[in-house]
Amino acid sequence: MMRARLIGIALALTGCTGVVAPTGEDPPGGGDERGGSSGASVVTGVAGGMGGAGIPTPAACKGHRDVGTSVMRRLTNAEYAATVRSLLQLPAPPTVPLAPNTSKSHFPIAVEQAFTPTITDGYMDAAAQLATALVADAPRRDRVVGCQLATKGCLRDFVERFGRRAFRRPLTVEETDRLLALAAGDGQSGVEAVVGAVLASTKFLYLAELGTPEPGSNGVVQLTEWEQVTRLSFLLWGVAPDDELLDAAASGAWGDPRGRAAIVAAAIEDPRARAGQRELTRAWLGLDDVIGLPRDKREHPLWNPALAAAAAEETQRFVDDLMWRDGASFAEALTSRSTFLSEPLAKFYDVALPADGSRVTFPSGVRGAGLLTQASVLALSAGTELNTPIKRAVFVRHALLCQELPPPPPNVPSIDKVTLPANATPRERLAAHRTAPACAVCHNLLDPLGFGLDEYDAIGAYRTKSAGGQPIDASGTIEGVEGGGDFRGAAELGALLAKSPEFGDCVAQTLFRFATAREADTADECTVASMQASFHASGLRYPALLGAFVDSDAFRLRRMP
Amino acid sequence: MNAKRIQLDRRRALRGALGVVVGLPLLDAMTDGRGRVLFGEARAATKPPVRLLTFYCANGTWTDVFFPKTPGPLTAATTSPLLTPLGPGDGAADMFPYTTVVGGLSSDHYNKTGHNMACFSNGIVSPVADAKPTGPSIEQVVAAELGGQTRIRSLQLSAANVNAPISYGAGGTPMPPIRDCKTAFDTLFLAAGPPSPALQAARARKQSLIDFVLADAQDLEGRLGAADRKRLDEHLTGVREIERALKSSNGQCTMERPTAWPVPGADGSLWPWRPLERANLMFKMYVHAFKCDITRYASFILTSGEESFPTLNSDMGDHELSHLDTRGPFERRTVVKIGFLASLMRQLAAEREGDGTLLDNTLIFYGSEIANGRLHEKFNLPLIIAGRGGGVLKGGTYIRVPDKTPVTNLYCSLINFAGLPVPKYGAGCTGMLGGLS
Repeated sequence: MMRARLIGIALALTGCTGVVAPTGEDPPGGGDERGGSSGASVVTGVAGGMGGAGIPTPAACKGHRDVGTSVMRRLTNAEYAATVRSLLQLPAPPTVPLAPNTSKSHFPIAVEQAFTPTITDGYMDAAAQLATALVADAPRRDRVVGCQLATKGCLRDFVERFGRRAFRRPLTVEETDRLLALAAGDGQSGVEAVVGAVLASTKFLYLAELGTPEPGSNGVVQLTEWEQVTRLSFLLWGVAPDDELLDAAASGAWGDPRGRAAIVAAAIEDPRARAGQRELTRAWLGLDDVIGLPRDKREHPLWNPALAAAAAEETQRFVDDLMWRDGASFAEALTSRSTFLSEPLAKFYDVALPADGSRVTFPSGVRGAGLLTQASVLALSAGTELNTPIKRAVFVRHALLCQELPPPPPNVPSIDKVTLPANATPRERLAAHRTAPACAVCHNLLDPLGFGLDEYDAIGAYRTKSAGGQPIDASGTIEGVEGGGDFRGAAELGALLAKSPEFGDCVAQTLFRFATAREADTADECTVASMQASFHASGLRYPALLGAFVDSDAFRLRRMP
Repeated sequence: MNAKRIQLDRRRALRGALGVVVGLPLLDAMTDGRGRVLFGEARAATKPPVRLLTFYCANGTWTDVFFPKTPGPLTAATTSPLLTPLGPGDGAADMFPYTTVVGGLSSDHYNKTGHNMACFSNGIVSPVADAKPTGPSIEQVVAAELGGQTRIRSLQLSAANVNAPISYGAGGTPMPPIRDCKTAFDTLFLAAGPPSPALQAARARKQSLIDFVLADAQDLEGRLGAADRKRLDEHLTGVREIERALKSSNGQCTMERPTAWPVPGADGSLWPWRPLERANLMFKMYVHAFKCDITRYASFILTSGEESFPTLNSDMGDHELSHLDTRGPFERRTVVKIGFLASLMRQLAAEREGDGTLLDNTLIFYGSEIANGRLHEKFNLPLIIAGRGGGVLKGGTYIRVPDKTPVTNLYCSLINFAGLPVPKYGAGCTGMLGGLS
C-alpha cells in the first residue's frame, strides 16, 4: 500500500528549492507538518490534508477508531432549499435569500460559515414567508397537514409529524407543547404559526450532533441512530431524512448491521442520490463560477452566458454519468471521448447533436480527455496567454491530484523581457523564468504539465496557434505523480493522470471533504486511507466510495471541538 | 493624542413613551425638539456622531501615479493623475479639501505573496494570502461598542460580483455583505414611515417568532459543547439584534423606495457586475442611513477581484489585468474606482448637517490591501481617508509617513477618530499615526 506519492517541497526563504521526494510511513496521528515554520512545507493533499504523513498501513489502522474535530454546522443553502421543498411539498426549491457561501474553496466548510444579523433575519423571514405561502395554497396545505384540522387531535398530530421531519428526531413533550401554544387561533393560522416557528428554529437550521459518548475516548461521541440516518440522507441525497429513514432509526432497523447495510445500499441506488451528488461536482470543480467568468468580447466573441451555462451543464451531466452508469470508472473522467451536450455547446465544439440529447462521442481526439477537454474546466482554469499553462497546472494539481503547492515566494523576479526577443513564445518566456532558481522547482512541476492543455484557448476552443500566431507545442512532462512521464497533448496527459493512484485518492479525499464539511486532520488518516483503498479496489466505482465513507469512523463518530 | 470624547446617546433624549427609538435627521436634532436651536453646551452635547465607512477596491494600483509627487497640500494643481476624479471639473464640486492621502504605510515590512481582502481593514490578520482574521475589522471594533445607539449596528454592502467579505466580527467571524439592493433597502428603510395596522401586525408576528426562537434554543444551549454553543450564540445574537431593530423605528426620515431594482446581469450586458447602477443606489442608501442615523458604521466593496469593466470596453478580469506589465488599462480602472469614491463624497457633501455637511462628520477609509498589484506589494499602500471625521482631519493634504510604518497605526487612529479610545489593536499597532490632524 505504501506509495511514494506526496511531493515534498522545501520552501526556503528564497523560494521553492525542494525536490520531489517520497515520504515515509507514519503511524496514524503522527507528523502533521502543516503550518510549520521549520523551513520545510510539504505539498499535502488538499482535501485530505494528510498532514505530511504517509499512508497508514491497514495493519496500523486495524481496530483504530478515531475521527477529526467537527463543529456544529448550519444546513447549506442547497440542503435548506431541498429540505423545505420536501417538507412543504413545494413544486420547486424555494428561492429565499440565505447565507452566502463564504468558503473560498466552494465547499461549504462548516467553520467558515458566517453569522450576521442579516443572515439570521434571512432565515426568520424565509420561515415566515414559506409558512404564509403554505396556508394560502389550500390543496398543498391539506396534503402537508395530512388530517382534517377540525378533527380533534389533528393539530397535535401534525406538530409531531412535521416536527419529527424538521428536527430529524421525535419532539420532546415540551417542544410539542411549545409549538401548540403558538397555534392558539383557528386551525389555519395555527398551521402558519407552527410551520414558521419550526423553520425558524435553530434545531431545524443546525445539525446539533450530540451523540452518546464513546467509552474511554475523550471528546468523541457516537452519533445516535437519528443523527446517523440524518448524516446519510444529507450526504447522499442532500436533503433531510424522509419518514422511511426516520422509521428505520426508530425501529432499530438501522442499528442492526445487516439491516443497515441494506438501507445504505438502497439509499445509494435511490435516484435522489444523483441530485445530491451534483452538489459535490459543483463544489469540486467550482462550476458555479463558469457563468459570470469574464472574457474579452473582442478576443472571445463566442463566449456568452448561454455558452457558459451549457458548458457547466455538460460537466455536471458528464460527472453524473461517471458516478451512476453501471460499470463506469472514474478514470474515464480524464480519458473519455464522449459527453453530453446541448445546442450552443455542440455548435461550439463543432459536432452534431443527437436528436434525443443523448451521449455524443467525438469523432476526433481533440476532445478526448474527459474533463480536461471540456470548455467549463478549460475556461475556469485559464488566464492570460502567459499564465494559462500555470493556472491549468495548478488546477490539475489542486482539484485532480489534491496536491497543494506553496504560494509563490516573496520577491518573485519578473519575467525578464529584455533578454528575450519580442516574438518569444509563452513557452520560451516561461522557460526563461525557470532558469531563476527561486522559480524553477515549483514551475518545473507546473509549466510542463500546463502546456499539455495549450491547444485550448481561454474559453476552451481548440487552436493550433497561440494568440501570438506561433504554433502550439503541447508536449510536456509530469513530475511528482506516480507513473508520470512524458506526453503530447491533452489525451496523453489525461491518460497518465487517470492511471496515477493520486487521482483516485484525490476523488476519495474530495468526497471526504464534501461529506464532512471540513478538512481532514491526522485523526482521519485511517478513514481516508480506507476510502481510498476501497475506491481503488472497486475499479474507481463511485458508489463503492460512498459506501466506504458510510462504513468509516468519520461517518459514525464525532469529535467535539 | 487624546482620544476623542464618545458622543452622548442622542437617541436617549428622543425616546418616546413606548420605549421606541425615533430617528430624526440630525439637522432636526440640533434643535431642542420644539424648534428652538440649541446653543453652547446644549449644542455641544448634540454634536453629530462620526460615521466610519471602509471602502474596498481589489488589486491595488500603480502607486507611482497614485501618490502626488510631493507631500503637502493636495489641490487640482498638485494632484497625481489617478486622483483627478476628486478634483473640480464638469461642474462637480472639488473634493480635494475633504481628501487626506496617506503614503508610506505597509501591512508588512517586506513583500508577502498573494491577496487577502481581509487585510484591508483588519489589524488582526496575517497579510499572507488567504489567512483568516482572528479578530474584528476596524469598523466592527467601533460598532461593537457604539453601534447599539442606532437601529442597525453596522451595515455591509457590496457591488462586487462575489460574496467575499471585508468585515469581520468578534473572533474573526466573517460578515458577508448584502449584494442585493432590495434586501439592503428593506433592512434599512422598511421600518420607516407612519405606522399602519398591517405593519403593526407584521411586527407582532415577528416578535412572536423571535420569542419562540429564543425560548426554543434554550433546550439546545445547555447541551452543546463550548465551541458549538458559541456558534448558536452568534445566531441568537442576530435574533436579538433583529428584535432591537424591530423595537425601534426610523421615524419619518427615510429614503424614497426605488421603483426598480438593478439585478446582476439584468441589463443585457454579458457579465453580472453592474457597478454603475448598484453602487450608485447603494451610495444613496449609505447617505440616507447616515443622515437618518439608522447606522453609523459600515463597509463597502466596490470590486473584489475578478470584475470586468464593460464601460471602459475592458472585459478582462481585474485581477488578470493587474498582473500585466501593460499599465494603461489598469490605471484607467483606478480612475473609475476613485471616481466612485468621489461620487459618494459629493453626495455626502450635499447633505447639510450641523454647521457643515454629512461629509464633515464622516470618515471613509478607501483603498486596497495591495499596493502595486503587479507583484502583490504590501508596502506603500494606496490609501485615502475621505471626510473630516467631525473635524479631526483638515483634508486637502497628502501626508507621507516614514516607510514601513504599520498600517495598523492608521487603523488605531481611525477607531479613535470614530469615538473609541483604543489602547491596542492588532499586533503591529505601535501608536497613533502622527500628522493626520
